[in-house]
Amino acid sequence: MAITAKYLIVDGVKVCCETNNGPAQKGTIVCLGSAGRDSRQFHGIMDELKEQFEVVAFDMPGHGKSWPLKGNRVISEYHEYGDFIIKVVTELGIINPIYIGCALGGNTVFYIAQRQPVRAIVSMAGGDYTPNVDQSVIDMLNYPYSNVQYSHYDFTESLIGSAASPENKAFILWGVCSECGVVKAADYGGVFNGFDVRAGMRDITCPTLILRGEQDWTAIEDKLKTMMESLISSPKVVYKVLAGLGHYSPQESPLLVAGVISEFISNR
Amino acid sequence: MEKAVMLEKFEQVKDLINGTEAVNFKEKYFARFFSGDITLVFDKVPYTLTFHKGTMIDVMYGKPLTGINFGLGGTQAQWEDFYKHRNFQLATSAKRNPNCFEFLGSSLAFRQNNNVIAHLLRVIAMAMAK
Repeated sequence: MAITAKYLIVDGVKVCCETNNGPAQKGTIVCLGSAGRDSRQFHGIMDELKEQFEVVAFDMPGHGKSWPLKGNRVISEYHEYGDFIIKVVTELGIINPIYIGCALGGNTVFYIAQRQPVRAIVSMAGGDYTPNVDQSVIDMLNYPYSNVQYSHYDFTESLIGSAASPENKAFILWGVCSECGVVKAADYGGVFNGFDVRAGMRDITCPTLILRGEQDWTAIEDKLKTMMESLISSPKVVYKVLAGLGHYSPQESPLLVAGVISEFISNR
Repeated sequence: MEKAVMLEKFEQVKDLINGTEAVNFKEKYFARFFSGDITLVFDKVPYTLTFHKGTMIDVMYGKPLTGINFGLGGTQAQWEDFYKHRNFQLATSAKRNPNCFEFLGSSLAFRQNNNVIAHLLRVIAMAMAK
């Protein structure tokens, strides 16, 4: 069966949720996306894993086909962001999920794993801490004279690895071309900005896979290694560098990334 | 690099950006909407490039009398580093690069024309490699 979608009401917000309708016996994988993006980011992964796992992806409020919060607002703080995800997953009836996240999602998996039992987590281009940025940077993400669809085009292109197929690269760029300033400012300037769960990393007790695109210039190896050393309660921490890939690894090469994730889950 | 040599290099930049890189520059990176000045500073020595709808029409030694619209400044070492990796976003990332270029002029104009200056710098790197 192809990917199908349905709507849930969570905290009064209509949330669009997609599933690949795969088997749930080995666990359900929940996908958490990058700043400003929607669940289509994971369609490649969902297709690749459809014979092995049930894979679910949903659009946060204001993203993709989900409604915004009341007053046309978007969640702009990381505790609220992570807690909303937990509510959606609870509403979907998913027990003991496997969370995979990219970029902002790659940070959020650590927040969630510190708060509830999860089967495993996969962090792609994520971290336990992102420092605050200048307010002027945040302001210009949702600014009447500067459109994020254009101002972030080159930035997004620089994040894509050379091994991404032309089609996958084009769709990642389509993502930035269709971004909304309100959403980007909330995600990047709110949720991501000042994200800090370092103090709770010792509380993560699930197997953890950390993936870094070899060509992702935003990922700093030393900081990733420090983060991994703080996962003292995780029974298994695996770190892999994905050759030729950048910041958007699950979109750049869903086949490769799905294989790495599947192997990790099967051997956790 | 000496002034005469730099100006000669900028003539090569002009040939590239108005020639083989024109379609890329004007269409993909939206330079067809840009008219104005971009000032680049190399070891405290400024050069200003002037554009009309994405075509480079002039280069001069110095800053515009009306003030800097927007641009970047760096030491020769920073420029040499950029010519090697050619990653504009890394070269201008205060968050990821402790040795990033200095922003000049209007931050808003820089942000509005981010794609234009990004590709201009890559073309400059091409010319410097020749």
